[in-house]
Amino acid sequence: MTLPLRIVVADDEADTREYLVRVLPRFGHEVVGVAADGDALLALCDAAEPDLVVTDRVMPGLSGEEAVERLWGRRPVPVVMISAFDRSERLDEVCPETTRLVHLAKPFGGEDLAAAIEDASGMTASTG
Amino acid sequence: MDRGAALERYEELRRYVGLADGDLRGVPALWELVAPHTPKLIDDFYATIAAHPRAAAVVTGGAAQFARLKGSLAVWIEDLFRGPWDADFVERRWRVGVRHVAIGLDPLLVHAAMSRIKTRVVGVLLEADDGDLPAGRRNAVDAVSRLLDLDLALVSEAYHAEWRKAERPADEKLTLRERAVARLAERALATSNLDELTDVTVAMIGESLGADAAAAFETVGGTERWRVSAGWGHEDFGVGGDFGRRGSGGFLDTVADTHGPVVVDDVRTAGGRPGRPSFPVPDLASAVAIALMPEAAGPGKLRVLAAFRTGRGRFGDDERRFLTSVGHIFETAIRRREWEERAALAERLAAIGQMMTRLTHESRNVLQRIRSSVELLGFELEDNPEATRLLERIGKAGGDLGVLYEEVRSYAAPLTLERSACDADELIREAWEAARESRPGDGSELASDLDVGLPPLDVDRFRVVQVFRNVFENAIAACAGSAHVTVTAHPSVADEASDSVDFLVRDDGPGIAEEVRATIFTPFVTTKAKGTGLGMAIAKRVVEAHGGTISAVEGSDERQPVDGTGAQFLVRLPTARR
Repeated sequence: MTLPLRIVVADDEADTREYLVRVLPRFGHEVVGVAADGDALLALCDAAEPDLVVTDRVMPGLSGEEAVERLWGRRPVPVVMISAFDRSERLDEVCPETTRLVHLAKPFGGEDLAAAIEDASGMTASTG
Repeated sequence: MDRGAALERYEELRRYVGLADGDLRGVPALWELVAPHTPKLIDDFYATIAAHPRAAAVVTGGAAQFARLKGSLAVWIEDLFRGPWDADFVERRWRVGVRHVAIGLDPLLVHAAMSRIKTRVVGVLLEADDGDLPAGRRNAVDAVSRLLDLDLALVSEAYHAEWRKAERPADEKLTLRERAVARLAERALATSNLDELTDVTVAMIGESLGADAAAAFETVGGTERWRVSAGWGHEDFGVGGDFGRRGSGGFLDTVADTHGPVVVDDVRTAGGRPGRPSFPVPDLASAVAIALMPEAAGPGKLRVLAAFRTGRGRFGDDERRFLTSVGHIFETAIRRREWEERAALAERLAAIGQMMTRLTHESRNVLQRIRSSVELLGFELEDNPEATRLLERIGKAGGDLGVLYEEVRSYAAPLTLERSACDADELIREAWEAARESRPGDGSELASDLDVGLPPLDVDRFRVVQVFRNVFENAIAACAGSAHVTVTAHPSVADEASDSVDFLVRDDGPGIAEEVRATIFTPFVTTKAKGTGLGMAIAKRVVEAHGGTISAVEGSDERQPVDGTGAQFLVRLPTARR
């Protein structure tokens, strides 16, 4: 994959959503959708067909975990799963072989996020 | 029983069997009829006794004694007929009873013998004059029969009285001790205050054993000296009283090194070295003492319970057994208390752990917001170096707070181990690499010298790496410049079947002061300028969850480099053989 990646982000916290929207372009990415829950995430992915998804794991309604599982039922999209909780291995088991899942623990900074995206997308070039 | 009381008792019995003075009037006259028969009666009587093994056993003086006894019996029979049946008479009869008790004759044999005499005497009287008894004599014979019954009653009474005197003190002593032990057991269950229980125990030992003094001694950690923890009956046994160094070979050492209770005839000389008193209280001699099992006495502690008397050789098997019971109760009480403390601590930790887990998770969201905002604000202030510096400081503070939360959680959260077979060398290297990140490029070095062919460890790899990482980070932090850390490892027991491995981690830093060593595993205790003081507490928790041990040991190991007086940690971990 090459820059810019088209990314859909989802988090139930407005602060984090704003952060993701503002920090991702600084690493050369394009945010093509912003969701506050799992249902919205799925709808946005259907509409925008992003290169990658960055989502919080625990959200009200459809959780990030459940949404990603359904999303993978439609097409394999690389995912950066951010979470304040300990790593859950449930998604690792259902992750399609053709794509990648990277866990990112809160609190994280821009550099951590960029590295996780790089890892999930399989990019090798430096993103500066 | 004194004379007056004996007579009173006799007369009471006489009234009871209806033997009036008038009934006795014809008795003396009967002696003439009986006297000719008594030598044969007495011979027969003693022949029967001689044939009875248990009865004969109490006559230890041979033929001469038999002759004396026969004379006494003759007098006794004549006395019965002649009267008067007054205080002197009763006293003489009483003494016969007492004498029988003294020689240890079975009372049943006395009853049988008395019955035999009565049958013979009465038989003689009834058969006199070919059985043709005058009316007055029948009454007199009846009176003799009752006199003999009263004699038997007197002898029995003498038995009882003598037994009460001879046996009862022993019975009471035993019952008293039994009761004391039961009360102590009750007390031990009711109290969780060990000092109070020690006081009670020592006083109870002293009182129950009729001792002149009693005390509990314990070794005081670190300095390893014997001190009084509770005293009774002697001014030298004040709490805290110093009784010398552990291992100097005196009385207390002798007790501590003996598995079981000890009776000593004279503590001043027992186990001591020539010219040196074994026990520094000169007026005490006899002792009975017991050392509690080391594991019950508490970590690194020895406890001794002892009773003393001023005279020599005053304690025996009974006292030894008594002290064994007391020791068991005491040990149980200590163990129970430890168990309660552990249970209470575990409960408290579990509650704290759950709360901390929750708090840590929530804090991550909050810290994320701080971090995100600081970073975004940083974008706005890129041209303002002073503001950027302050923002970095806020970011760093947020990061430190996060570390603190994670460490407290790591200490308090329920610990579930995922054990697998792990290579010791790999663990050490992985932990070292991780620890180096705390201060990269300072020239610190690891020299590890692990026994070839160490068995794999049966541990949670991630957790144990964390343990060694914490120990290594401590070493690196303690050394001003570059740290030189050495790790050696060998099986805990010099045996192929050893089920654990000992790791000795040494550095060349300033070492650990004795007062620090005592608290190094206590949470939130730190000597580092930065750090939460949880690293070693977590290490201990993880190691102990594995069934292992970790301790800071004194830097007196001969393998220690001459110029190094650094810290040393001994970590014992289980192998897959366990």
